[in-house]
Order: sequence, then structure tokens, then C-alpha cells
Amino acid sequence: MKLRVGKIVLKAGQYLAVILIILAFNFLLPRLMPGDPTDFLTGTDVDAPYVMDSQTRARLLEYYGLDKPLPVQFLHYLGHLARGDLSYSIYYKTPVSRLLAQRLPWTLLLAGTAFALSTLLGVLLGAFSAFRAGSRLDRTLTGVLLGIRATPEYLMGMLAILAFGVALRVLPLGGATSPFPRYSSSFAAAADILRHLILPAAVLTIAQVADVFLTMRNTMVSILGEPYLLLAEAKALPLRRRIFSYGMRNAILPLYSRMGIRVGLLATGAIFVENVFNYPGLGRLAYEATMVHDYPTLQGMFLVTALAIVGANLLVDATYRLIDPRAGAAGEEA
Amino acid sequence: MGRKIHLLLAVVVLGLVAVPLLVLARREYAGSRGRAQGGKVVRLAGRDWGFPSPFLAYPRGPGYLHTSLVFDTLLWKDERGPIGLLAESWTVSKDNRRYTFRLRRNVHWQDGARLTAHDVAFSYEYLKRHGYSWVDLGVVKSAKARDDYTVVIETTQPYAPFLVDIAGSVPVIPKHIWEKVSDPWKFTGPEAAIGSGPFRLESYSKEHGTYSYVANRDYFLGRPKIERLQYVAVGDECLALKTGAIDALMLWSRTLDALPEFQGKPEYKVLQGPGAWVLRIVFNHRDPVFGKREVRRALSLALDLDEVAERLRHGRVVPGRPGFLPPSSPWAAQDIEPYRYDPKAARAMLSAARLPRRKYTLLTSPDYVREAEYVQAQARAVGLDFSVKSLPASTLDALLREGKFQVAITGHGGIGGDPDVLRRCFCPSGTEGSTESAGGNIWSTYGYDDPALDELAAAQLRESDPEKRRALVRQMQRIIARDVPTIALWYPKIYFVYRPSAFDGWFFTPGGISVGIPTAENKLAFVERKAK
Repeated sequence: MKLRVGKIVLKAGQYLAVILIILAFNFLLPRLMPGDPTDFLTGTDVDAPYVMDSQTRARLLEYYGLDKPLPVQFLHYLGHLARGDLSYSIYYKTPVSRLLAQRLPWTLLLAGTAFALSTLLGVLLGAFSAFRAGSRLDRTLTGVLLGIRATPEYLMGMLAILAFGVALRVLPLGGATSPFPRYSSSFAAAADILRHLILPAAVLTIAQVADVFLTMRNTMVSILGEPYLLLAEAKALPLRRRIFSYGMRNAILPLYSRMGIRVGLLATGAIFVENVFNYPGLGRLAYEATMVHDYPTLQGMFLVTALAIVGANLLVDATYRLIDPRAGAAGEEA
Repeated sequence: MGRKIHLLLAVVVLGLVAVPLLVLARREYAGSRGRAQGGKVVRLAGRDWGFPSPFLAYPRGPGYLHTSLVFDTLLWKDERGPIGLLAESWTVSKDNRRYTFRLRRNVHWQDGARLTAHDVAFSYEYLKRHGYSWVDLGVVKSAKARDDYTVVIETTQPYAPFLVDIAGSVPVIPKHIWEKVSDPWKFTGPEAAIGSGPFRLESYSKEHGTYSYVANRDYFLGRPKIERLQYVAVGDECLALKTGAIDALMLWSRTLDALPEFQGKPEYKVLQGPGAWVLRIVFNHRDPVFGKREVRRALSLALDLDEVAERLRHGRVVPGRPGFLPPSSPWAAQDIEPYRYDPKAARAMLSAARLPRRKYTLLTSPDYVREAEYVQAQARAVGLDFSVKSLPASTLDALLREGKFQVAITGHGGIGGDPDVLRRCFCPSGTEGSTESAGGNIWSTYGYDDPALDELAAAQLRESDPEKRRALVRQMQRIIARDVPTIALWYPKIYFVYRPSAFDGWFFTPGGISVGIPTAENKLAFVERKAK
């Protein structure tokens, strides 16, 4: 028991160190880009004819504390963070926490849907394909999904818009809700939100499914020769039972341990998909905030994304033993 | 145990979808309750340009346009040029330092209070005190109300662009609301969007980038012709216009490829606007090679700008002019000869300059790599070797500002309005009469300094007689054409495509809205203006 508590403390210490490193990177990375946020309050677009004078620029730098040395700025950042304050966005002129609270549910909905659907589809197709390894179906599925994996999300998004938004006109071109709706109930609002979710979620799901499929298929193929599966086949157990009860339970483990990586991939995919569909999530915010060098927003965004990835890894670490008791036993033996 | 944990994981994943859906559905439903609809609606493509108050709207063209729907200025521009908006008439003192505006008497704030000269004086002082990032108010010395309908604004120096760039751009805000606000950068809520303009802000969503404005029926110039002006989030604007999600859009640069989709079709109308933007070669004049006038001139002789416009940009741009200002500008000196294409003369000039044989760096951004490669090929043919480096536009801007470059291709707007842009681009900081540091921004021509040009720049700034000022500006363009501190490559053609069945009153504003926004989205297009 003592050993176990010690392990948990050690693990927590490791995660704390990771978070501290993340905070330092969060702070430094945006500042490594040439220029500062005031450069991007105006710009070179056709719509930006005015370039800020040096006095206004200096005043803004002072107002946002960007005129201070970097170590002082970093201490301020940590101080604010310790109080739960993610600072104030320079470009969006609103508290970053409010900005993230507005955008986060949209990304959770989009990425969560894509995560659930791509996992379900990838696992089923991967397992099925592995049991038919070498068949025409397996070759076709692997080829198609490898092709999809090589296709950028934004291209898939544009094709989906052209097909369903323009040619068939059955789904909206973008956005997360109808413009200026008057809903009769929360259900009507949910239905409208789901209708707008179909295309972006489908694109993100398709973009993610190949990764799950390939992991699942390869693991499954590697365990197909295991004695317990040969025994199941010898006992003439139906294919479905061999897949679900014998193969999948073991093959799913590598997929589970890749969850942290998948959260990272989802976050990246969401940036492209949200921009193509003008979806108001964190992905679009990340893109816009990067373009305008909005340090506080970028810091907040990176923090949320990093915490989500660290959280997913922590969850995997904490629950892996429950899913695969051998891991715990092996660990304790060691 | 295994089954339980699988179930638990399934619940967690379902929760990831269900909880946000529930939260969002409730939030959207709550936001939509009581929302008024109906009337004639015009819809445009939207994204978040900030809350439409003078402080919170992002200081870019669209951000300013949103503010202008709600807030009025002393002067404005209609389809013919500058007109009095809140000001009925104005006079300028002999020393060109004092402007006296007589205000209209029938103007009310959207909350019913009367708009007076005290509001105008307060607005100028307040915006100057807190820093207004759309226009530079450094030149405003004081603003005082002489009586309820007369306001006097004094400037620190004679400043020719004052009437258009300042009186025609600074939004007038209600004193009775803003005098209680100590930090305007954080002031939101319904009161922050009470103006005197033709539209009232009905709803704004930062996350969706949507705005709904409803007509101000009591607008002093007349009731708007439409009931609502709405900005909606769409993915691709061209597809959105085709499917009817929006009623108008502006095409330029890359989106111009979509123009044939709309031309010659009865359901659309197309307006061509002034190309108040320039793509140009900028030189670091502190560089020992590009600081030499003959090297810059040689490069200008090596380029065939008609070919650039026709072959690289398929005729969708206008070739650059040596005087810098675009031919559509009323201030452009049309008599300056266009750039001459003479590679033989270029080669001779460069060999006479005896340059060290080395490779120079030509920076650009991804959108203009074609132009950079063209310049590279043409320059190589006359003996100047460049390597092209493409950087994100924002990174390039920062390097230009810091002077960390030799030669670069970059673009910017703001050249269709007041000709003082010549001073801001080509005269270093410290020029007599300078109201801002012209050096060190992305527009400035790094390290270039010509005393004669500086003198003319200061003189045109003081000159209130338009004809005399025009002559000075013409002389400035001649010096620029002679010295080649920059090479203007092209000015884009800009088009505004709209569905006349939705609204048919659009017009491009001469000189652009405010300090030069080239768009047809002028608020006066929506107003049924009464004959005076």
C-alpha cells in the first residue's frame, strides 16, 4: 500500500514538473514570433489603412504590461495564474477565461463527437479487417483509409461543403447555429446545433478514423496467432464472439494508451475543421490569436490544450491497470 | 471489472458530447428568447470585429465600419465626397489651426437625449486622453463647446487632412454615459453601444461573429431603408452569396477568381471600386547596395509591370506607378511617365555601379511568391542575384519594422485617401509638422531620407488651399518617381458583388470611408436622405 502511495506521489510530481515546463513554454513560444501584439491591431489587409503611431503603440504596450522585461512579465503571468486569472485578451479585449468559456463547449462538442465516432468506427472496422486480413475487403479498407489519412482536413471540409451545402443544399455551409434564430425550446436549439455539427463532425471523424483503424488492425493481426484465439476457433465459436470477447479486449489496449496522443491530434484537426466551417471553437480562436500575436489568448489556449493532453494521459495512467490487470501485476512484481 | 470500466469510459465519452450539447442548447435558447425578427433584412458575411464601441471594435476597416453604423462623426463621405454629418457647417481660422463647427439641432442619442456640442467636445478630449487606436489625435490641442450647438477644435499645428481624417473619422460618444466610465477598454453592455447613428445594435455574439443592427427610425437624416442589417458567420463567402446566405460581398486578390461566377448574371450586380492598396518592393536604404539610387532605378528598369499585371495576375490588377499613388486617386500625378522597361539600360547601370558579386535576399509572404520569383528572374538577367525567402505575412511585417531585411515585397492599404500617406511612407520621423513617427512602421521606407521631400511633406501638411496642396503633392510624387525609394508593382482591382433584389443602393465612397477604407458598405447607402 505504502509503495502504491509513493508511486502516486511520484507520478503526481512528474505531472507537476510537466505542467511547469508547459507554463514556461506557453509564455515563451508566442513571444518568440517576431513583432508584438500591437503590430497586428492594424495590418496590411485592404481593410487596414491605418498604421498606429508610436505614442499610441507605447501607451498600449504599457497598458498591457508588455513594456516590462520578460522575467517580470513571466512573474506577472504566474501570479495571475495562481489567482486563477488568465489575463485580458489584447486583440479580443475581453478576459481570456471568458473567451475560453465561450469557445470551449463548441470544441468539446465537435471533438467529443469525432472522438466517440472515430473510436467506434475505427475499432469495429479495424477488428473486422484484421479477421479478414489479406482479403479484398481488408486491402480496400486499408487503402481507402490510408488515402483519407493523407488528405488534409481542410480539403475534405471544402469538398463536404460543396457536396452537401452547395450541390444538394441539405446542410448549412458553416457556423454553429442558424443566424439569429428564435428557438421554441432548448430541444429546438439542440436540433439546430446538431444539424450544424453534422458536416464538421463528419470531416473530423473521417480524418481521425484512419489512425484508430490502423492501430486496431495491426494489433489485432499480431494477436490473431495467440493460443487463446486458436482455441476459440477450434471450439468453433462464432466470429462475432471471437472478435468482441477474445480479440478486441486485448487489441484495444494499445489504442487506450494512445489516448493522450489522440487528444493532441484532435486538437490539431479541430483547428483546420473549425476554420473551414467557421465553427466558433478553440481551433478557430487558436488560428486567429496566432495570426494577431495575442499573447494572453495564446497562453490560455495552450494551457487548456496542454492540460487536456496531460489530463488524458493521467486518466490513462490511472485506469490502465483496471483495464489490463497484467500491467499492475507486472509493475508490482518488478 | 473490465466490463465496468468499459461502461465507465463509454459514459465519460458520451458525457463529453452530451454535457456541452446541453450547455450550448440552453445558452443558445436563452439568447434567442424574445429576439425580434422581420422587416427588410440585408445580410453580409461576418466574423468577430469586436463590440462596436470606439474602444472595443478592432482597429481594422471592418471594426471601424461596425462602429460607424452606431456612432456618427462631424463629417462623413457620401457618393460624391465629404459632407457635414453632425456638423451643419464649419469654418477654418486664417492660421488653419482652429475649426469651428455648427451642429445640427435635430440630433438625438438613441436613448432619447439630445446631442449637443458638449458631447462633441467631450468625445475628442476623452478619446485623446484614453488613446484611440483608429486615428492619431496627437494633433488635437483642445476641443471646447462654445454653446450648445457650436464646438471649436484647435490643433497644435496646421493639419490639412484634419477635416476628412479626424473630423470625418472620430466617433462622437454621449457624454452622459461615458463621463462615468474610467476604463473604456472594459466598458461593454447596452449603454456602450448607444450612439446617434442610423442603426442600433440589437445583438452581438463574439463567439459566432454575428451582429444584428436594427434601423434607428428617428435618425436625423431620415429613416433607414432597411429594417435590419445583419452580419452572419459563413464558411466560404462566395458560396454563401451563391446559396443566398448573404446578399453582398467584396472580391479582391485571391477571391477575385470567383468574379466570373457573378458577372453577367441578372440576379447579381457588380461594382468596381478604387484599388486603394499597393503591392510594392521596399528597400532597406541603410543597406550599402540598395541605398544607392542607381541600383533601385536599375531594378525598376528590369521589370515589365504590364507583364506582371497581365500574366502573373491575369489582368486583375493595375500596374504600379512611379509616383506611388494609384491612378484612381484624385491626388495622383497622372502626367508622370510610367515605369519604363529597359533591361539593357538596367544592365549598363548595374555594371557601372560595380556591385560586389553576391546573393541578396528578397523577402516576401506566401501570397506574393509569384511576384518575388518574377523579380528574381528579371534581376538575374541584368546582373543582380536574389534568393527568395517566403515568410508568414505577420513575421515579414515585424522584420520590416525592425529594418531586418535588404529587399522585400509587401503590400498595404490606405493609399486612396488623403495624400499625407506620402509623408507617412517616405519621410522619416522628426519631419517638421509630423504628427507621428513615420519611421519604424511597416509602411515606412526604411532609412530613406530626402530633405526636399521632407520639406514638401511639411508644406502640404500646412496648406489648406486644395489646388496649392495638389501642386505640392505632385512635386512629392516627382521626387519619388526620380529617387525610386520603392517600386509599386500593382494596385488590385476591387469589386463589390451584390444581389439587387435584397438591396440596390450600394456605392463605393470616393477616397474610401474614413481614412480610406475601400468598400461599398457606407452607412449612408441605407439612409433615405431628406432633401435639405
